[in-house]
Amino acid sequence: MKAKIQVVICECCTEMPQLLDIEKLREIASSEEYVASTVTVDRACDGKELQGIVADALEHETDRAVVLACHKKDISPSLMKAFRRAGINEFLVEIVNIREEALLPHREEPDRAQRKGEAMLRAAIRRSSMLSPLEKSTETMRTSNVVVIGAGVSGKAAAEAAHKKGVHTVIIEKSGKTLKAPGVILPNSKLVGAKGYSGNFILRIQAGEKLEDLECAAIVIATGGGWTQLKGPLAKAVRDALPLYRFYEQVKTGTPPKGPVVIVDTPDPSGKTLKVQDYAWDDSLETAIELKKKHPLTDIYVVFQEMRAFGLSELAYKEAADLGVIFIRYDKSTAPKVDPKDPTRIAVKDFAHAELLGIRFGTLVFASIPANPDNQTIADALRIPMTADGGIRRGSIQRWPVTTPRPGIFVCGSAMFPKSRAAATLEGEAAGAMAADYVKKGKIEYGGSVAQVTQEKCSACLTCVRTCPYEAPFIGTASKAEIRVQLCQGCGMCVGICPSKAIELLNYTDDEITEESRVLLGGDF
Amino acid sequence: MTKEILVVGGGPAGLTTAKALVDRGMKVVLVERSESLGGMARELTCKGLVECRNCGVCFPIDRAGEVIREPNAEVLLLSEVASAHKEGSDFVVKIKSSPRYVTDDCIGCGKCVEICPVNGKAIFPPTGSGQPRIFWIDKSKCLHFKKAKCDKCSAVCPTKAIDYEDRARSLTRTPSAIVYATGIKPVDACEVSRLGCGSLKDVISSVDAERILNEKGRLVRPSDGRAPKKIAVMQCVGSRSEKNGVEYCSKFCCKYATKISQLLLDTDPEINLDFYFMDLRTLYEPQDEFKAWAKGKKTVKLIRSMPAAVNATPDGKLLVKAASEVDLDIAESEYDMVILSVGMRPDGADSDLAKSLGIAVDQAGFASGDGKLETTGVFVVGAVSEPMDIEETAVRSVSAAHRIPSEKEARQ
Repeated sequence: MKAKIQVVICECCTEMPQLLDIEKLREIASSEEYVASTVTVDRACDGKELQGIVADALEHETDRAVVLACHKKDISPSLMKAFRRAGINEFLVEIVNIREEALLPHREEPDRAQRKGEAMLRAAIRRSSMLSPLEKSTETMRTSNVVVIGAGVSGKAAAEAAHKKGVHTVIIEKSGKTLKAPGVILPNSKLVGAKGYSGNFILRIQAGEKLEDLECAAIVIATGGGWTQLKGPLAKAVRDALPLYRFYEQVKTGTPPKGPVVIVDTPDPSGKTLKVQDYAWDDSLETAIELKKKHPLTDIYVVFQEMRAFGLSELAYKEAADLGVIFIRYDKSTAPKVDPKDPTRIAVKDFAHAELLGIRFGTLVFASIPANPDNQTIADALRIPMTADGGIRRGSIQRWPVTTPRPGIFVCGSAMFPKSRAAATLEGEAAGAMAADYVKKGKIEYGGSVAQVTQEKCSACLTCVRTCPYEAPFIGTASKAEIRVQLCQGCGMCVGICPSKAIELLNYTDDEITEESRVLLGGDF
Repeated sequence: MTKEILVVGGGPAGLTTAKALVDRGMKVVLVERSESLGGMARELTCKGLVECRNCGVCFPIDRAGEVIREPNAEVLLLSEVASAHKEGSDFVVKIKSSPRYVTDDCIGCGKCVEICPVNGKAIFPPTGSGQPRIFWIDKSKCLHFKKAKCDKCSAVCPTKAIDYEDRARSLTRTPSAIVYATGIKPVDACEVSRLGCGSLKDVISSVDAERILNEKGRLVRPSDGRAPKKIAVMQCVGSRSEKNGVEYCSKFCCKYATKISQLLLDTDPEINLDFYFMDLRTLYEPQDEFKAWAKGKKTVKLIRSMPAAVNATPDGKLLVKAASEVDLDIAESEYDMVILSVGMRPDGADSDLAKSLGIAVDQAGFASGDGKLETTGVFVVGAVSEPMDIEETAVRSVSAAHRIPSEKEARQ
């Protein structure tokens, strides 16, 4: 069937005609092959005029459109709705940003603006005539499970928030600890692998000796910090050293700690063997203050590289110092040492006074929260990126907070980097609520402009399988590459790298791109 | 009819909460004092010239665009809440809305500003990257409302968007909950006089630096318009100081200052940059990331010191005196420009409205909202409650938006 294009020229409230020759653009449009009608509107973003566009499209029985207007973001939602009413496929609407790309940059030189606008119009018409209609597909989520990995502070908050919104939650907890939380709790289990895609994940859970598959629609990663293993020279030298959270519990229950107490930021101060992300100083200061108030005679030393007492914790920093907690800053190059033969004395070089101090201690506490070693397995299984420190990397804030680059997977608390209890709870709440919202949509949308394999050309060389960051291509039963459409993001990497030129991106095929460029640049190649 | 939620403040916290509420199917009335949405973020610059640096400035601006188009959100600009009191389970809120004198037909061409005869202009574009992009007239300056009866802007406007007949409105709404998100105001850098703010032209605050970068894309010396080659960035100006009453750490300054430094080096790799700080508290980033970045650049120096004084030299440069952290020797260095990273103070934490809603003020001057206050339907969100950056604000707003009960939940 021959393409019938409707060209819509938006005058952007009389701004366009002042600099561009709209009549000439119209002439060019109508002289081009395939163009069935040309409409000029005052502004395409206005609801009233969209009626006219729909009526014109129906009258001329057009099946695709080229719109000369402004940024796609500014006009598309209402315009797309109008075209849908006219029965035009959304992938057959070409929006040319003539305002920002031709008009505004060449405000001073209308000739150039006009020439550029004409070239862009011709190229868009040529490209439009070659496009084929595409459909987006939807798939229902098979379950409405939200899986929360980790039952710590943030994990519990996430499960409660999701439960409150009426979603079924499953908590995977690696230890055997009992806890009160809504939904199902799987103790002694961990995530070892995952299949599927956002909305329909199949997680492989190792529960004790058994391997089980668990279907879920969304995942909240709340692994927390890697408290369980204390590595590093200081932890090796002092066998009974405590991580901060356990010391905090001890202070709360009232058992007086063996004094003096030294709170050191990390068991590996030179930073050679242990990946330490950061230190939860607000919690450390809170602990020090509480201890000092309960046992004023106990000496407390806080040994640190960088005092990151954020926000109102600064007041706690001051309060602790007023109460008599002694703060000592050291430099990474002169790390504190404990002689394993005398594990009750720590040697610290005070940076400010350049003095070497020997502190005899009864209790050694580590304030650091090392990255959770399980993050690696989880990130590999779910194919999400990690930070250099070994945490789960959060997605760009441009999307929403507590998201990861993959939709349907959320991250909260110390799984990213150390957080205080309060911050972890809030993030857990946010992540749980957002996961529940995601699940409540009930279906996922995919398809559109995705990669497609011409099976005859494929030599099953695996290049695309290895290249794709989303693991969309796989070798199917016919020993040829296939694309899992639900995973394809339409980035085109496999298209570019395929040595047999067997893959193409729908509506961005080689022909379409070269033809468009040829018209734009006005040359033969 | 579904009950609505009142959001006071159109900055990052108010916008994120409003959007999250609308997404839950609730109705929102958003009251903003200024002429556009975006709050502090309007005048901040995107710090990702080469790659996204996750500064979060675009987040509230994008939300503003979404909230404006949302049919379930009523956005009241140039408006203030005059009074609010509780009646039964709901609030009765009186809102005063000032006229804008420019209608939605405005396309932002700027011809009206060009032609406006008033010195200092009476018609303005929206602040920075604020949304919506509709101009507004300041009635107290405009000659039309004085004897002159000037109507030059109306005559030149291509879309006839000037409407002198616009009137002030008083509105009454009965929301079931109130979100208090009035945000912060930056500390005035000139409160710390020893660093040359006010007296030396090339000493600017980080807020000015952000605004210039947002508008022009590059930094120039205010005194002679030349690009600075040697810049000093100083942290904790007006924060962590008993003198001007900001004893707390403002939390977001290290984050934005390190990112501005990186942006400056991206725009001009030749720039020599010295970064003066007390403690490096880059929130939401791995601690050593900035240190590693600075180490990799030969032109960047990190100096742990609070400079004592900034003076002018005869040849138009700035002389910074700072003590060395190790031996306390006073080092003197010359710079083309000094950027002072200012902290924040809560804005409106102790307003009459806050008092009438039962919002208490904590020892640092921030509004404190707790679970007990939330049961009465008042939610304190964002940096008015404690120092935080845009990203943490977003997290807390989402969390708060989900704590606000919908009408169905409230009935149960």
